[in-house]
Amino acid sequence: MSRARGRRYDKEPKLNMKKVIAVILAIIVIIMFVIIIKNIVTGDGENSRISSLSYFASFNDNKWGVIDSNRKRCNKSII
Amino acid sequence: MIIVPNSKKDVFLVTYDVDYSTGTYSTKALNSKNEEIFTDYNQIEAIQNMDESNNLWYEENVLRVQKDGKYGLINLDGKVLQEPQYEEITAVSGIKNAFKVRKDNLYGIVDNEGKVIVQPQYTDIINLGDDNLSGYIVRNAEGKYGIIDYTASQVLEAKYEEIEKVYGNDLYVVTENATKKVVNRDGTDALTQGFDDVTEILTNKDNGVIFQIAGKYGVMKLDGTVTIEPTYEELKEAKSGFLIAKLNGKYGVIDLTKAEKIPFNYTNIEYNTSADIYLADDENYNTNLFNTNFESKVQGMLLELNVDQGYIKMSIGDDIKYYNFRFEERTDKDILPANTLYLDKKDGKYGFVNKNGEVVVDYIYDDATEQNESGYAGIKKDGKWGSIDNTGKVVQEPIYNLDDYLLVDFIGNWHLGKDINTNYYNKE
Repeated sequence: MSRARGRRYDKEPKLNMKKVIAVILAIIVIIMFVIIIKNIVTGDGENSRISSLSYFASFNDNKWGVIDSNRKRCNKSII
Repeated sequence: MIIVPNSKKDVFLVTYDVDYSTGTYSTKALNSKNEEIFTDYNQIEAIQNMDESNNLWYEENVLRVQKDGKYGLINLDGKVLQEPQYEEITAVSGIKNAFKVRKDNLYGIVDNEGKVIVQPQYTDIINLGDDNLSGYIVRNAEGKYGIIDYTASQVLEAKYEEIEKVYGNDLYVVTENATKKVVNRDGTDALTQGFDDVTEILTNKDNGVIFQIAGKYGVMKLDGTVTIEPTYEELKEAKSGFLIAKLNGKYGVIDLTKAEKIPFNYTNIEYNTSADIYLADDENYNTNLFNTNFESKVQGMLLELNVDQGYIKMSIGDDIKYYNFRFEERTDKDILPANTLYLDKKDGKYGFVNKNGEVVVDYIYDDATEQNESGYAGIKKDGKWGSIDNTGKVVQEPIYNLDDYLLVDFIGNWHLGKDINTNYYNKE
């Protein structure tokens, strides 16, 4: 007759999900840091100029409006 | 008309339905989604101000609102700083974040956080100096002038017919009984004769004042001793012990013994306190920069002196050069590290390079501007201006004649309007 001595003596090994999730998160964080450091060091032409959105009054065809500095939208008056 | 008081906030002030015959108009505030905001008020406006060169600017953090005929203040998030209770609110001329308010026909001062600095109790109030810490000249109900400090405490009793915006070392220039004089803070006389006017109190009290008599300027100590005879057409202190003077139509710098430090060869001289540099302009519109030891360090056309970022930009011959305030030459990459493109010149033509000096835009333009904060640069070809984005791609072909514009600047294919006071971009 065998006596049960707790989980570590079970014949079938069980996956510790908490440790698995922790390892995956750690890998993700490391990857994020690598990407951030890479961007800082190399400087992507698209993103290296840090410039928050700015707004400017516009006047054209006798109409007033506002334009912003977002490259994707700056050709249109947003009002 | 639309005013954007703070380019970083999507609060846009719209003036519409303007009736020029009656002078009436309507106002509203919109956000970037074109939604009306701050709708509790009958009127909402930016507060305009002027600098010493009469250039118009708007307070960036505070708006004036009107409700039921009374004015109040809110910030750009809509928070009420002062409830609508005043008959009038204007900016204190030339000073940021200080507002002159009128209630029951009496004036006071409120700051940009809505704090009442001076209760409305004076028939007039104006700033004494160049900032809101220098205090105020106030007029009481009897029409007499005095001075209060920035905490509204009395500095000089209100008993004078006039007070000049000339002060220092607890000395003030006042008119009492039709006589102009210099008085101490306690009202006692410091200097009463020997001059027609006192135009400046020198930094070191022992050196006295700059005075004017018969249209000429000199220096006098407080005991009446004249240390520099009034022979100069203009005289003002640059820094302690050194004066910018005008003689025979030309400017130079002298010390208090009249020893010449910068010769009288220039059409104008200014001293920049932050940079500790003298800027002397000659007849050819070149600027000679002198250091604190009066050594001529750089000569050329001054394009920019940026005290916030600590650099000088000069055009010397065909080159654009940058210096720090110690006159050490710097590259544009040192000065403008956030840029993706840098203006460069080769064989008389302009192009752009990246941080590594690699050519991104070929040298094909007759003129160009540096990349601005939004990432755009102006380019000129065959007399017309256009623009490129921060990758060097042409977003506006050169089609605009901007030769008589004071400032060339682009946001995408929009260029800055001719009158920089109106501060808008257009496509005309």
